[in-house]
Amino acid sequence: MYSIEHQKYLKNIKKRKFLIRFTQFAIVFLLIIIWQLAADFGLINTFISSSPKAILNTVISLYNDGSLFHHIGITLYEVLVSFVVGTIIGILIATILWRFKFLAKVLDPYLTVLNSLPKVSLGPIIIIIAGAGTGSIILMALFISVIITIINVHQAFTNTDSNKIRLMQSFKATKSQIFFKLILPSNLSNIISAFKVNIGLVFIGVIMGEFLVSKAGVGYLIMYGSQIFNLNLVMTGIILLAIMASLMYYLILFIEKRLLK
Amino acid sequence: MILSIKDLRKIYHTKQNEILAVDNFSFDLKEGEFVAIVGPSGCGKSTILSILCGLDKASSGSIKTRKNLKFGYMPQGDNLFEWQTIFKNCLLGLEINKQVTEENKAYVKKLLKTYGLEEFENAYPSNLSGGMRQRVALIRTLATKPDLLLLDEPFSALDYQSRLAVSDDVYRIIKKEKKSAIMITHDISEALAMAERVIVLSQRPSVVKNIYEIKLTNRSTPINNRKAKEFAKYYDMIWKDIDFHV
Repeated sequence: MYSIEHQKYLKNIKKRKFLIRFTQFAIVFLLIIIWQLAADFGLINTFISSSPKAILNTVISLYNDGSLFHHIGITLYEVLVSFVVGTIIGILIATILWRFKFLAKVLDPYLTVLNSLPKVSLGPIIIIIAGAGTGSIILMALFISVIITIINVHQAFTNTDSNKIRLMQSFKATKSQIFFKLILPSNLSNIISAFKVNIGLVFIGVIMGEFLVSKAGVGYLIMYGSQIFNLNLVMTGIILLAIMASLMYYLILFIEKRLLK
Repeated sequence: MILSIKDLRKIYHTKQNEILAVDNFSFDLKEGEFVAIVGPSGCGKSTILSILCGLDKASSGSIKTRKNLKFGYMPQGDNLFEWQTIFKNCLLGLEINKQVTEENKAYVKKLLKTYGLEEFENAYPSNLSGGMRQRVALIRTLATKPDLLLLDEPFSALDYQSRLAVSDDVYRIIKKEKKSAIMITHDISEALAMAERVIVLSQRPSVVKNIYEIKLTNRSTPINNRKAKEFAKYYDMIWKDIDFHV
């Protein structure tokens, strides 16, 4: 059994953790109440800033006409597809660049230019090439996420401990053995950080794509809402996005815990 | 004689200039001998080992080995793979060479058992002390049954006390398994305590400045060897050879 002091110490840790959680929830709760009260007493213009009740009503009416999960589903689908495809393509190209240093040197300036180019400017071209549909949206998200994945993962690969590589070489390991036995497993945590960056970027890409294509999805809801001056719809869209993005982030944290026991 | 190096020479090329790292390096190694190479840091000691185990090419000179002589290289640090168990770590060389047979596995298990790591077989490297990790690294090298071990400042990452204990440990294992060894170090007393012969290299380009046969009364383990009365005398001579200036 622990000493009383130690028990106190453990208790304090627990208490602190609880207090942090509690404060986090309290902030959201208070904000919602203040927002609603301000709306009820006419302190803010609900036409512009909407109100929690109005947002809830919008969600309910969207749910009732069956379009809520339709839009969420489409956005989620686009996000997931671009995330998976983007991450795989990014890691694959990073691997090729790691394997062929000449190619990495040659492509370096092009990657830098593509990385700093605001990808939204490619929007019109993408729509002309891929059509005004899901394809364009996914392509947009890929453009935004792939380049940075390539750069980050390639950098991590080339920074692998050189002594470990020498060790493998002294056993006469082939390049592919070095890759699969050392480079890939030792960079697992770096690859997961790439996941985290990617999920955020993919959301940006998808919403941007939905703004441009304007057919369906949460991004479309926001765009449509702003065009008909229905700010309740805009706010609803933003809140739905916030929830979706944080759920995705926690999903990756969960995967990280499983992979990096 | 299992290894004979003659007039080894290595030039490194950089954009600014070329660097003569090793010049005129010759020596012979007897079977079962433990040789240490000491020299000032950055003098190209490691280059010699890299060339021997095929990681680097010599510019000129010849290396003759006994037929089928197998090298086992140990770079700086233990380089254990944190994401694999101790047993898996020890199998690395065998896996690369596709020699993971039941017989070889049993050999690795025997080594782990002999050197007190049996209960850690399924543990991960992070659960082991620095000394134990070094022992695992040695077993990983021994698993491929090399005849000659090439140790490149193997203990430089350890603190002083562990370093003494681990060098004792590693020495014992190398002698028990009847391996020959060449060890690079910048620590003169470590070289004297472990090796039967010490090769002193000069500032770059590394040429052999002196070779000492270390004759100690009551030679035993590295820690005990440090107490031998000749120890200080050798230390002094080597220190003068190295000609160290800040």
